[in-house]
Amino acid sequence: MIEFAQPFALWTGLSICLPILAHLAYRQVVEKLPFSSLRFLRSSSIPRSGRRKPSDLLLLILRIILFILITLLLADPYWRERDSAAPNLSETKELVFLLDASSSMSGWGGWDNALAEIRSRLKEKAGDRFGLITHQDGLLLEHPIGTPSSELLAVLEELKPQYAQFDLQGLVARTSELFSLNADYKKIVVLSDFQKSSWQEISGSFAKFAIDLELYPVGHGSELWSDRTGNFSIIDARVAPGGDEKVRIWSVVRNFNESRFDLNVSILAGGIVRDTVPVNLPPQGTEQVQFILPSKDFAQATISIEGTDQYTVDNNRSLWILPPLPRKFGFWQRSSEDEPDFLEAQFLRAAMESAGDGVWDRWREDDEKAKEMRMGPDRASLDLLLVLGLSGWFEKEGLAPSLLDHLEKGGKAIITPPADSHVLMNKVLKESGIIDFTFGGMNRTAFRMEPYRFEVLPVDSKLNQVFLGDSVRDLYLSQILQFINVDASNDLNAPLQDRSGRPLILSKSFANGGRLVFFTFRILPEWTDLPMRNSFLPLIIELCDLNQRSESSAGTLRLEAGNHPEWSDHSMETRQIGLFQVGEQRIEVVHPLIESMPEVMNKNELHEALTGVHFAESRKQSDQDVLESTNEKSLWLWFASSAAILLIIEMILSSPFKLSNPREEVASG
Amino acid sequence: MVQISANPLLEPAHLAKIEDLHLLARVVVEGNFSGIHRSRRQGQGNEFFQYRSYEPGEDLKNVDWKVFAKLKDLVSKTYQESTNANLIVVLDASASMAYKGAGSPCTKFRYAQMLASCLIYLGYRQGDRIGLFGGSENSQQWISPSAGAESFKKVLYSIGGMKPEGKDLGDMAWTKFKSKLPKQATVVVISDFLEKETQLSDRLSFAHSTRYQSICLQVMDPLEEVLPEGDAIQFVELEGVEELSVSPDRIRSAYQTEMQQYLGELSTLIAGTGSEFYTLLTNQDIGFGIRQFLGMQRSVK
Repeated sequence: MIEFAQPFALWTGLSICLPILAHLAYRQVVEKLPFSSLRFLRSSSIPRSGRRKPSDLLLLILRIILFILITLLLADPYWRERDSAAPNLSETKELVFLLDASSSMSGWGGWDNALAEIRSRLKEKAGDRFGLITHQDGLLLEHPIGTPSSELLAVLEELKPQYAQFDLQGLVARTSELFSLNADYKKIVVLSDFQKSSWQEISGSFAKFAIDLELYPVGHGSELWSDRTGNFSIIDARVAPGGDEKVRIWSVVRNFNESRFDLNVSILAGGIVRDTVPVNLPPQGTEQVQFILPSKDFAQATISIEGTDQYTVDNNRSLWILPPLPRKFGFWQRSSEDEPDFLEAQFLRAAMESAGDGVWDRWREDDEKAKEMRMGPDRASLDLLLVLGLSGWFEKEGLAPSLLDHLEKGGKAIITPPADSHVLMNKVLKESGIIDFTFGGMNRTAFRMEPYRFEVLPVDSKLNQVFLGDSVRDLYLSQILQFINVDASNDLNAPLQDRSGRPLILSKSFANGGRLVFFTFRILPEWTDLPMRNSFLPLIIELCDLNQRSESSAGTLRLEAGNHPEWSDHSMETRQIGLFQVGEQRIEVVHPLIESMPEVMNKNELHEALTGVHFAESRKQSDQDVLESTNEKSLWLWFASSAAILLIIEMILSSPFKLSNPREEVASG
Repeated sequence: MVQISANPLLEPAHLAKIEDLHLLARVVVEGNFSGIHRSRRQGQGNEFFQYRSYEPGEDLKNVDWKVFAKLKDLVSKTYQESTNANLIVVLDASASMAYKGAGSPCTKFRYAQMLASCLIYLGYRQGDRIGLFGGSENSQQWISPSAGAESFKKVLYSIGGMKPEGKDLGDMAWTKFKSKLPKQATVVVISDFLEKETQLSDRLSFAHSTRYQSICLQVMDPLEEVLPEGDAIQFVELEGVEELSVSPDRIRSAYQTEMQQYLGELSTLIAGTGSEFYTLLTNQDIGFGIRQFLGMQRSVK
């Protein structure tokens, strides 16, 4: 069937009246006569009555055909195989709907549009074979080709947009495999909002499989394929201690419009709106909103943008406002009551309990867990384990594997030496592979001698950046009265040394962030005055790297919908937005920010990406596989050559009839 | 006005078949005009004319003694006496002369060639000095008048070699021609006189003088007078590049009127220079022209 790419050009067909008018108006004088002088000839009109020769009529018909051909030529004719455009009843036409069920589909009315379109197509084209492919609950959902329309209609009722991200690429790849081999016509209708974040890296090769592709954009009404606007989103929300029994909740609101907007953002806690804050949002910009709530009254709060916009899912954000769980530390020490051990534990306990900000980031001693860990590896875990006066008891109880296990799981540990039996300690640590150094005797400050002091920190060391100004002076003034001399192997780090370059503290890093800190002196007044100094707590925090708080070990875990987190024997599928608690772990599942992004794909680019064929080529190239897949053949060349042939015939016919040349006659006579 | 000769031998349709102009002239002149033209003057000329038997009383110096020695018969030699008369034929060989209407026996130029040859022959037979001026803008021919068979052949050869092409002779050529005219002469101008009639009085100014007599013979195709038949014809000018599409049937009467008026004016104009003027048609007996020529000569002598 001939179709035209430029049907408007058919209006030029009116030009066929030109040759008709020309034939009516003009008569060509075909008889040429050489004459001696024209001076006595006066111009005259030429009668038209003579124009009835068969050749004239032939010429007229020829010219009309020529004009018709040129008209059709301008309209860019191409041949579309009947079986592809309108398949016969006996031929099988297979149509698969690829329905994007990402979260953003619920905005801009896209989901309802998409379902309505599928329903209308299912009714309209009864007799064809349909299939549906989409994703639900993180799983690919496919209804193979040939599923009855009624069943598909029922399925549609149950589908919902998903918060979770889905592997669209897999969906696209699977779609081309749904068709049967003997299908005469295959077509995929992709119903999506074509949000750029979802589609920009998707590729397919539908053209290779001779599958026709239709991109059906939904959502955002008339402005298809353009940037979507009309969305506001809460893109972040955090809670922090506000002091004085209060919590400070701040959130970031984003405006995806091109113009400035005024909004109210409110916070809901305990079923009541606690506060409403007006915000003025810059175009395509963000603004922070802050709320103050009593710290212990509520466990959860929800921040909402008042009013509705085109995409409402990202207008709310729920968050836990309970303080995070305290981190835990414990002691291993000689079981018998020992005065120095007890005193050392006292110093360190006081230091650890005062760490953090006092409200949120607390440390709490957990003796139970410490004891449990002494039972063997793979037991409970502590954030920080303090092994005081490590010596024979450690070896006797066989605690080395437990300590190693703790360190390799990312735990932190501090070891202090015993008052004596240093060689034994050295042997235990070396043989168990916990830390490798050689004991080199004791260094003691002689009577009336200057105590040992810390060496000045290198400029580029991390500790130097932590201790600035007065606090570093405080550190340098610390007296070390005695310490054990260690000869450390190369893989050990000595962050602090005495002024003669001997290591005072050794540290060793383990996999998963584990850190072992070995003090060569006890945290006792006979050994050093360091525990009494202001710099002591920051030194421990920094040496043990205790500022880095892993999300999973304490506090609230924040996840985007669609993540599959795993932490300490638990795992979870996050398909719904909201607040959850698994054991002690509090979880916030938030709306994926990427779904709020308003950019949509360029239609041609996406078409190219999915078909695997350059879009411009597919329109222009009249041959090869692209058109074969759609069964279109350009007739341009045929029409052009026919017109050229007709033109030549016309020129031959319309040229004057050959006359005998009288001049030649004279010359010979 | 047109008189078709009763003598079929003079019809151009027949004569046009004779290629050789010399033969043609002899056939025409000897066959039809013997006796009419002025008789040869025999006597003390330089050029041998013929032998004839000696007649008693004749001067003995005319006897050819070499012949007598061989034949024992008295034969006297006669010589042609050359006259002082000059005959100059002016032949127009412009492209317009190439016209041959449908039904005409020959082109205008061929007719003019035949006519000129006959006149030249007549002059030769009368012992006149014969000259030729003619051609077209691009190829001009000038043979100054002289007597004798050689000159006659030369002139005939020239006439036979002309081809009608280009514009007619320009004013420069005419001026030069006039400056080379002998002191007295008979000038026969054969042309179609369809162009540049305004320059004619200047070109023929010599005819005012009594030393010269001039006769203008206009050669025309019958169709030039009446216009070819046709519904629509594109006329192409032979001498130029102009073309004109007309319906001849519609303009015929106007054309004829204009043509007659022109011929009348031309006749008056040429008469004003002291020349005689005759119009000849290409289907007309060639003797008509010759008779006009002879008549003029008789009236003068």
